[in-house]
Amino acid sequence: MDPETLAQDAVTAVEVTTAVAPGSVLFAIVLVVLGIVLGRLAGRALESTLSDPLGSHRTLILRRITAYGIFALFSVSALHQLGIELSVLLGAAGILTVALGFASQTAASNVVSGLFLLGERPFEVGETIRLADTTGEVLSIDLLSIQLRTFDNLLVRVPNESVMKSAVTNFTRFPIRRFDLKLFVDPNVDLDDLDAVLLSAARAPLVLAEPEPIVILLGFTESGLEVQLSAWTLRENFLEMRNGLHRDAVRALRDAHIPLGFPNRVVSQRPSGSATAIRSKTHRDDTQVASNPEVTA
Amino acid sequence: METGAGDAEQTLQKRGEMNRAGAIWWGPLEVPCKSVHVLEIGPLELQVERHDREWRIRHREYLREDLQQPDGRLPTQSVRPVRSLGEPPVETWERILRIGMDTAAEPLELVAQTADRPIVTVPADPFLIPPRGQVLLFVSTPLWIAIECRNQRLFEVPIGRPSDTWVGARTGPGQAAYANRTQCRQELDEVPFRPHRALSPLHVSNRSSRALPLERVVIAMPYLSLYADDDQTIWTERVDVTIDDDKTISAIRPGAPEQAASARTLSARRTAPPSGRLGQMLASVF
Repeated sequence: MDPETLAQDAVTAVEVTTAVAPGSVLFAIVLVVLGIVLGRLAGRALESTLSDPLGSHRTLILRRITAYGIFALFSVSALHQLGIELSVLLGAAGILTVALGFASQTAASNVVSGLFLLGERPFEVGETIRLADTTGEVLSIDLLSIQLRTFDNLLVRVPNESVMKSAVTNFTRFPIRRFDLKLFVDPNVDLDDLDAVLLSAARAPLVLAEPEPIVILLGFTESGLEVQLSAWTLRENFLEMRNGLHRDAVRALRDAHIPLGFPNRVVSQRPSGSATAIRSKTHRDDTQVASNPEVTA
Repeated sequence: METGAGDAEQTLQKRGEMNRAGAIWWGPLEVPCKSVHVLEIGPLELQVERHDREWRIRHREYLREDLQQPDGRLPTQSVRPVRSLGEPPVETWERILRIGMDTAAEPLELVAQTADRPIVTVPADPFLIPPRGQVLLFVSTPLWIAIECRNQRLFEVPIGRPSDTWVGARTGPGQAAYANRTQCRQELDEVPFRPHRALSPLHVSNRSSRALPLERVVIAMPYLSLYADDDQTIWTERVDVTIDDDKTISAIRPGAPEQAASARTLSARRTAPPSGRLGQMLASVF
């Protein structure tokens, strides 16, 4: 069918439309309104029925598909009441789709990505995720984009295509989380003592007894011995446990007279005027360094 | 009964060697107006203040350095006049709850309650049950104190908040629980008298053909009721666990345990276990 024929058919359709009786127009309007109302009601009914087994994400999509589907059916029926041939409209829509397709590749890509997200379900509405540099709660997942609410209450819209291309971290998928507290301590400390002190700090109500907290010695650095205390907690207690573990660990180390390490750079200058030597020491060595007559700073 | 706080000797005091009349800490609270009822029990200190139109409830848990053996402290109760509102607080209290009423004449009641989650009990030392063997263990678990008015629960707090723990896979289904340790005592006379903990008879029968290391037992405390016997020991129902080669069956035996057959009901279970035999099985031990 060539464009000229299509155009003539469209003109014919419009002429038919103008020739219909006022009652049919009214009936068509009623049909459209009815389609909107019934579509919404059916969508809500499905949402309330299936939200438990399907989850909020899929229910949201299902609700929209249902609402739009019912609305489309009633709209077609309304057009039929007005005497408009659907085949003519579909033909015109075909050409329009090709034209729009070239002009909206990004939107199409987002729609396809949205469908993949729907199937893959890396996160759902209400979960907290990190996407690139943005961390927040998922407010909605649509065919074109997702919306996040950051912790400082900003709305961030991320196109689905970007979501598909980025690494997504879901903070709320699993019921328990581990927190790794990294510390620098004096390298001369007794390691058994250090182990016992840190594990005693992790003996708190919000720290899970199982999986057990563990201490990992990461190695020696210019700031001292780097050590990691890893403890698990229930997801909802994560922030409170993290703050408490910092407080308890520092308090336990202080009570056990184990000093924290920090970067300490000592500059030594030889009296003969030779080149300045720079070396790193932890603060515990400062007294020894100061007693060395060769050290001036 | 007044006891020296932190006295480790009393922690180990054997059953039947002491007067337990003053160990009752549950029941109606009789607090004169402008007075504060102070209950010290185990690691918990609870203060209930009565004012003209208001109750004030404060509580805190003793830190380890405050008390050498806070868990062994027997309950003491006293009534003091309240401080006036303008005075600065003497101590920093962990929590305070104010309950406003038309009149504070409505009596409050202290209620003993089981934990609100399952409790994972781990033997303090490795414990082995030989093939075809069976043991009856006495496991004590921490209690909660609830405050009720007209049978409506206003407030509750654990007597010594146990640590959280997790039962199940780290990434899959599981359940939050509380952690607990047990000495796996089999002689009732060796069980210390601690009226702020509930005693559960746990019968474990190993019907398998291999020795069973008892690593942990999960007791669904919300499904258990509490009973108080004549010497103020608080009991729960007996829990039976039968381990076969390929399955574990567990069940709650309804009613007070035979060790406290004449005990009266202290408080009902928090929630009913799932109905049916399967539900009963799942209710007690996982």
